[in-house]
Amino acid sequence: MSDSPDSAKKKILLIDDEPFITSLMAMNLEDSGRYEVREQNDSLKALETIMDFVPDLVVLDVMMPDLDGADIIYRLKNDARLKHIAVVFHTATVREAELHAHGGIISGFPFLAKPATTDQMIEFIEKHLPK
Amino acid sequence: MNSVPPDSPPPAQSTLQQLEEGGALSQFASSIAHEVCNPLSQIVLATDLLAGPQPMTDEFRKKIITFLRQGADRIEKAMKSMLQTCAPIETSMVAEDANVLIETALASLTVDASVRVEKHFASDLSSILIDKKHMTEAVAAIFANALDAMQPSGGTLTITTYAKVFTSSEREGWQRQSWFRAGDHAVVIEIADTGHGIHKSQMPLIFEAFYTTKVAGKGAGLGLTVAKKVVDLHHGRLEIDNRPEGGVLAVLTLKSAAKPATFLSQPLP
Repeated sequence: MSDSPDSAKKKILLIDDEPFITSLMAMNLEDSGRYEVREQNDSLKALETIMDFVPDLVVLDVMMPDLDGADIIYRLKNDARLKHIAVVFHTATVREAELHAHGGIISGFPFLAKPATTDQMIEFIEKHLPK
Repeated sequence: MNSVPPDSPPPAQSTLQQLEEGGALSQFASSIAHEVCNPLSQIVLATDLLAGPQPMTDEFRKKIITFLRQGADRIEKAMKSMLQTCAPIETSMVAEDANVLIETALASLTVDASVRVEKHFASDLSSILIDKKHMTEAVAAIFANALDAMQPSGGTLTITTYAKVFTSSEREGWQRQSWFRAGDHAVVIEIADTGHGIHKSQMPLIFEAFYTTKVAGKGAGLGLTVAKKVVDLHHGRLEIDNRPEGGVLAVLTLKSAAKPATFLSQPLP
């Protein structure tokens, strides 16, 4: 493992209402030396943070209070400024209702089931980062 | 308060059975997965950090161990809640004054100083036939949700009780015991808060097990689920809706054990 120069690091945004999970994910991902990571635990501030940070990839939880993952992705994909940003789901469970929410748009996105190890997460992120 | 041998006690029925009947078992399992997999994720990621090559201070190591313990504690709590939800509810019915029930439930909670509690209690209520322990917990769960909804800014919790005589038949659900018929006497408990209300998209989910809008680790999302099961076992009715002026109104309707004492003591003409 070697540190990449900051400019070469991919920007990953973690959106999850569980601060312990985003904090641990961020530490593990940053320890790999490959990523610049930002966390957002308030789903209502998700779009604002995406606009400010402009990540290469968003790792999004599904079940959250206020706005759930489906709501966020629906808004993101309907915003001309943000719709190009890649999104993956990191979720403890995907429910039938959520899968079909908003015209089934959520089912078009890859998801990683919790719990995932850091190695699994990095493999998943690398697979879905825009080339 | 008198012990009353119930003529036809509500059958002990496991919540799991009720969920199966409602076709909600898969959703329940999904909710449990959510409650367990999130802290499990926390444990896996904390272990990765401990096992990783990066040097760490003793203080940082202690912080990671705290993450591990906190994750394990959450799983334990989730499993205990699940077992409690799935356990059969055994009832022991007694006649109770609804106003006393409310006071007991309120006393079991800590009411923040920012919340004003207004009580409008009817004094001529007939008693209700309840399992005191379970119904107190159910009413306390409704109060707790109302109180949480008013944080952090505070507000007013208004509790109103009144007697109701049904003038027409009201059928809800398939259980005949749960129908209110014309002439039935009931006691109604209304609980109104001035909190943030419930989003209309979330309204169908409020009685769903493990559904919560509270921040992670703050509430397991079982309070209203268990409250509804307890009310159903008493063949009562629990309705929750937003108030037009803001906040939420919960209406709990329970059948009277007997006609009001004032009615019985009225002299014959």
